[in-house]
Amino acid sequence: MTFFKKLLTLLCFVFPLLSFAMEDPWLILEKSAKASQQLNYEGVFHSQSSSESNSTHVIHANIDNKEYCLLKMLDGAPNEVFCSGDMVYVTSQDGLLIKKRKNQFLFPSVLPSDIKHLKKNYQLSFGEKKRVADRMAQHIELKAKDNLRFNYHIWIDDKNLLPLKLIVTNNKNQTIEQSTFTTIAFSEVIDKDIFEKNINLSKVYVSKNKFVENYVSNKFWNLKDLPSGFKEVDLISRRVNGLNLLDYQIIFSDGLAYVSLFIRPITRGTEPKEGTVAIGPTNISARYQDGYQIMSVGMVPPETVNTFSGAIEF
Amino acid sequence: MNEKISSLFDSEINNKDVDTLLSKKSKMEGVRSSMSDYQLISDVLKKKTILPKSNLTDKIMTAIDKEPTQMGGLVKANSSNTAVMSFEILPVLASLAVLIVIASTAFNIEVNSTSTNQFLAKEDIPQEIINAHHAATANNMNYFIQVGDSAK
Repeated sequence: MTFFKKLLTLLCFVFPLLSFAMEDPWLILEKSAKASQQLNYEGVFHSQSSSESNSTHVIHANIDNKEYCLLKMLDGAPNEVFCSGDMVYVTSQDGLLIKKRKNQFLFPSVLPSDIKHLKKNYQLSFGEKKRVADRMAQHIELKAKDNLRFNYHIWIDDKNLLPLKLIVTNNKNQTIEQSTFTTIAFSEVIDKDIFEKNINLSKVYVSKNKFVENYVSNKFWNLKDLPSGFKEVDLISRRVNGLNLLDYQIIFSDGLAYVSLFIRPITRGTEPKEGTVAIGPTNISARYQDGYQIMSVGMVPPETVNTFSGAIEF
Repeated sequence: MNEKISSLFDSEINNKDVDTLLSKKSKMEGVRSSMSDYQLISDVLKKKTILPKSNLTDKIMTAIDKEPTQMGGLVKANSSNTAVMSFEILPVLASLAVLIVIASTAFNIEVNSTSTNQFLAKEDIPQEIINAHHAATANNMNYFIQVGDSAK
């Protein structure tokens, strides 16, 4: 065998390995986000925050490029969530609520499809593999590059890349919130009837969320010095009960963390509030300005919600 | 006697007592004075127009003069010098406050720098705010179901 033949043979072996090694490690998150939308699976996951813990049974399927999911609470009231594309149907003892999903990422679909934004705000590193729900999973850590957000640890299935476990930690490495599969099974096909028996998909339901107006014609505020890495992803307005006034909710995200900034007119007899408090893993900052109660809410450090509530100018 | 006078202005007295009271009023100076005071109190409570009664004002001012002045429960004195003392002590207190702030900064002692914190309590946060936030952002299904209740 000539030298060139030997070299060619060697390159044939080495090149695929090299290309794998050189692949952008962030791409694994993009593939994981796709996996959570495309895979058919059924299982039980356990969620825990500082104050509550509960188990949920989930069935997820992608049928004709449309996502369906059925989530049933196993603890407490037997409430259910049914997703069909962008529509979400919540059935509880109080009746049926229909919502349109915009930024909603229910576990395990926690990763955004566009990871560009994540790269700016988090540092990616690979941890050790371990078993989660009887499957091998790769630990990926997304460490915040600053003190404006928490850290996210995701364990993704070694074979099909579905997120199996999520832990959110603060900068002291304390767990803020976690969700993890306890059992999961994948299948090629899931029958559509499983979903249709819960909600009559041929029926036209009327959303009860009538007060939500998606179009805001007059943004009478300016935002200055927003926390870096967060961008506006949604704006919702609601009519204040019994008054010809609107309150506004501006939603910001860095790809994983979300903050809502509320601008609410103060009604007669209501005392304005100022300060910062924590309710479970959620921090809230309140400020009063020019007849409006400004509140920012999010599972982010207190400094971040404070900066958001101070960012409004009239 | 004072109880009866008070009842008269509150319209809670019977006719017989009214006659007795009015006859005493014309005879006794003390009763007349008390009736004048209760008339004024009644007018204030009923938000009627009140003409100044120098007599009552003088009495109140005299009573105030007799009361000792207190400084935050620490200083008790009978003379008016106490009020002057309070102004003298202000610069000292201000200097002390500045020193505490400088010292806490220098030694990196954690102080509650946002004085507004004390005004906001968990109970002040409307549940609909928390629900509206989770309705649009939560990845925990439990939050998502809870928000259904308030969004209706």
